[in-house]
Amino acid sequence: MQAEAKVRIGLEVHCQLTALRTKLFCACSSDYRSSEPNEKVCPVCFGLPGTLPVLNAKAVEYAAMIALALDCSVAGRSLFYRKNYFYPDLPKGFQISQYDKAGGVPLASSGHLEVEGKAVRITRIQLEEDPGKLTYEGTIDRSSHSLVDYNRAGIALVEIVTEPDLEDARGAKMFLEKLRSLIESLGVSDGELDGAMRCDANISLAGGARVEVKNISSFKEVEKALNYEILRQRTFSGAASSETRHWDERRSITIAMRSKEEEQDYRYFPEPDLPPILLGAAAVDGVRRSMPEVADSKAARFAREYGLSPQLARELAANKALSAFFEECARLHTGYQEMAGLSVSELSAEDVTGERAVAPADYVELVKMVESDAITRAQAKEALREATRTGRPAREVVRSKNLSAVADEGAIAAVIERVAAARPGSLEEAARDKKAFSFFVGQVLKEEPKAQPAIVARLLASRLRAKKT
Amino acid sequence: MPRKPEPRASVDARQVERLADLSRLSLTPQEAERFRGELSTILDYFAALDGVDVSSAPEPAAPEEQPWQREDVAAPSTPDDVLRCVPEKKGRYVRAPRVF
Repeated sequence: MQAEAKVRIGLEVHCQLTALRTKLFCACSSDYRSSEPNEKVCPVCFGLPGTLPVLNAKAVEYAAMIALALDCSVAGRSLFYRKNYFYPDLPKGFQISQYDKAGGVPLASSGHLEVEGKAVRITRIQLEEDPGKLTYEGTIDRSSHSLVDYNRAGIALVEIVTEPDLEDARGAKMFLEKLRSLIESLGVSDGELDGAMRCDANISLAGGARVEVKNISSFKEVEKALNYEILRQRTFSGAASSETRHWDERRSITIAMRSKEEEQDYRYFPEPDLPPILLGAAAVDGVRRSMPEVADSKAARFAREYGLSPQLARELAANKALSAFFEECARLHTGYQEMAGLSVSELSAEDVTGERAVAPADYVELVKMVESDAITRAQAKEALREATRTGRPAREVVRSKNLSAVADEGAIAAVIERVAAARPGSLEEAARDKKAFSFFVGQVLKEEPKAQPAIVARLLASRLRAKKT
Repeated sequence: MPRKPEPRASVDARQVERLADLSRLSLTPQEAERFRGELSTILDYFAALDGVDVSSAPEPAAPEEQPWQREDVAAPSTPDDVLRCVPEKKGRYVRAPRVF
């Protein structure tokens, strides 16, 4: 069977900076989602003659945060460009955007985001204004007029463009989910809001033309749209032509759009009404310092500072509340690996922030009991479950439930003998085979749950040595 | 002193057709020919700028410090004022011819 042609997918993500209070170029409120049509508008939104845009300083800061979180280099001096097109969603006849050709410099470029161990390169990041929203009178095919609501016009958008580094729909979805959680952790955008994050995709099969799919309204739809388009191109193998298609969510198919403007038709030129954005090294440092730490760099720091295993560091860093809890505990005690491991496996964000939250000092004492073999890890887990359920301190649970590890090695040795007697030949097997050894330890723990696994293993090993001689 | 522009047919019929298409205008052949002539004249006039030596001119906007930007503080919108300027409305919507 012939190998299937390799798929290459690049994404263009549009993300509204929903944390901003105002639009990108005017002081209209950005909180438009529950507004009446054309309620959050002013002469700037309508592009009326004599108006001038004035840039929202916070938008620059937020866009730079996204750029830094994606490891992009931020341009010291970037420019706004006019993208001219004739469509009623923008009343001015052009969109204020940025451009990477014809002398244009976007806000940032050349970054990457790692997804499942593979880097997806970020081509560029730019600031632009969101257009208004069109609806149609009657059905979309028949209506002769569109109805326009400009509440959304002028909302600050960050456009994030990737290189065609993604290889399938699933990978694209993973990338978008990671990107969304990254942006959310920066506190600059809430991707859950309707239409706050949208995406276009470029898809090509090896040897075929590049097809752009637009109008993917949510990340949930991305996987469906890409899978449909890949299948369509495979079916018409070699016949895909360079075109723009439209994702029809209702019918779950892509359809060819009217022939679109070519890039030269947009007549990009520098926006004369806006000065350049200057972001020198000092300004970029300032943004970097004001940024909340994002999960990937936090995981790297946890591994470096506390010596956590990479896997554990990642799992801990992925949970903001647990990370903060862990770092509080780390000020009280140095048993980092045990503290991190136990919290990742047993605690949720709610358990450390909610009404019945576990106190760091209490948790640290519990971990110390595990470390000194006073209680088993299983008992610590039991105490935590009870503590988070009732709100009682874990230490008190340990006392009241009388949890304690069996310290009497003679008693454990006796259990080993009982298990051996119940399963003739199991000692010989345990001596030969690692798995059988672990199984034997498990059987002993079943008989005596209060025994420490490490002590059981040590006693069993010496029992086996004794048998040999 | 700018040179006097030399007349040349800088716009052809195909370009006029493309421009009309992008602007969603339909032109009669007479109109197309008229615009071809007028656009050519305008472009030829501006072509005089090609002759100016700007190699030693300073960049018009090269600020050293960040020019004025706005704080992210909301001010009341003025929907009634702007909607008054809209020629065709339906309810609170702006009604515009459909563009295909």
